[in-house]
Amino acid sequence: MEDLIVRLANDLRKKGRNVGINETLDAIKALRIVNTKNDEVINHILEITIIKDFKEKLMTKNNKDEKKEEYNKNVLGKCIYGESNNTLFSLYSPAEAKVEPKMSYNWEREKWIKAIKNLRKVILAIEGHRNKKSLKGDINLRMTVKEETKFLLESPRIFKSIKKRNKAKAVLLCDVSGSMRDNQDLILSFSFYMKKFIHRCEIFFFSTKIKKVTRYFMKDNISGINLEKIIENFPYGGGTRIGESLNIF
Amino acid sequence: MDVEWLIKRFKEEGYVLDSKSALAVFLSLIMEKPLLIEGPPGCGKTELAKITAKVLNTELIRLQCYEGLDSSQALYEWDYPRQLLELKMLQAEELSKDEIRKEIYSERFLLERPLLKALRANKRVVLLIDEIDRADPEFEGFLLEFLGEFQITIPEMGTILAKHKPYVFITSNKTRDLSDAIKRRCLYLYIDYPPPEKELEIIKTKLGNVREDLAKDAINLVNKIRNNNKILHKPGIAETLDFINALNSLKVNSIDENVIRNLIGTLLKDEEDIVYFLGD
Repeated sequence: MEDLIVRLANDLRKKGRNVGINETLDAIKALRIVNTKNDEVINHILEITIIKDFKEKLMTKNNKDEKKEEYNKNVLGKCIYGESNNTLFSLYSPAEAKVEPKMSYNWEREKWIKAIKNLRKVILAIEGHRNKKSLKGDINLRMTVKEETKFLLESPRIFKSIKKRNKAKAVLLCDVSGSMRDNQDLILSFSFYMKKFIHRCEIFFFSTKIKKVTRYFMKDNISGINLEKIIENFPYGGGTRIGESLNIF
Repeated sequence: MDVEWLIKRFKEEGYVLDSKSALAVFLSLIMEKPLLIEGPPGCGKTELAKITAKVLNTELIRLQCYEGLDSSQALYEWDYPRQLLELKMLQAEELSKDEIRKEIYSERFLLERPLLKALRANKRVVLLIDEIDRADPEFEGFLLEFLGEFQITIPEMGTILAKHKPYVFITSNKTRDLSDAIKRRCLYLYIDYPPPEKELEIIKTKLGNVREDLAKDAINLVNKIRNNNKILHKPGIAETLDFINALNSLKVNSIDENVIRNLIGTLLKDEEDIVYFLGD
């Protein structure tokens, strides 16, 4: 049985699940404790100790052929970005684009994760997303008093800091007006994976009005999100007011 | 203690435990490993930890996670105002600096937060770290020492080892992926919405006298809502119980359109979902 568990661990590693030695030992220990020959129970034990949430990913991989769809949106490409005051602002317009978008909704999960993790690296590299001590800030009484106790009330330092703010690390502003109707699948996948893998990411949709929609993407499964229903709340009868929406934002 | 015993005791406490969940809880207790429970909201993850504490007849210590949670709220904090007062008094006495330092960093001034409380408890307790996906990823890193070794390090005092290892349950709504390091240190259980037969059993256990045909109709309605992809906020088990309670309170004999219209607020808590479902 031990050999089989070790082989399973190696197979899982090959498929992308990083199984630790302790997890292999846990599986062996659990099988010894329960001491059963019931296949169903053995499967449950392996799920609890070694496979964990990778089961869902394995199933997704197996079903990938069923989910394959032709991506035939040969949109043009336009990508603008500017950097100012520690904020990176990127704009992508599928309608005006001259190249095919690098991301596609029929990507496998792993591909999306890789792309979003790369995006996260870019975002985290931008200066100013982590709080710093500041000489120009207000006196931080709490830190100063804490330091005083260490120096028996004779601390040579006064701490200053800028009040900590919970900033979103990334903000996705997405046009969901009629011109974007053909790109709904892309919007759905991009928004979902961005929320899932970029912590404190906020998502806003806009057409004639702007609204925060982050909570709709806080789901464990992409199939649980109904983008059409979310977009129903964004009428664009009077034309999209991008400038006004961004100004409100 | 074995799996069957757990299922029986959980049922006595009003929680219907399926064999897979029972196996996960059993292994977690026996192997002294934290149990990571994931699943959609309202499927009984938190309740599982609460009932485990009841079954084991021990205290439940709960740490509710939220964005911005840090070690001073989860682990310990020094009582600075009292330390300062003590310092003033000690300075009047002629004590050396080392003696003063030792005195003001003693346990008297240490404010215990849930994790430290669980480590220093005089008997094994159940520690529930609820909705860990709401906390920052940095907090997961901070939990690694605790979950792996059941110890924490306080710079001024040294390392504190658990007197009695707590039974740890971690819940997550899976709104984001947790780190591999956390998953490696835990056993794993995914709880989904229960199948209709189990939900009926839960209703009978929780509500006692309930008409089976009415309960079945209610479960069918709830599952219809859960399977509808256009509904954004699905009803959990608590909502099903509320709905059936409302039916009982109003002495309703059958579920028709009028009843659904009047009681939909017990199942759906989002106006847009309600409008969509009722077709208005």
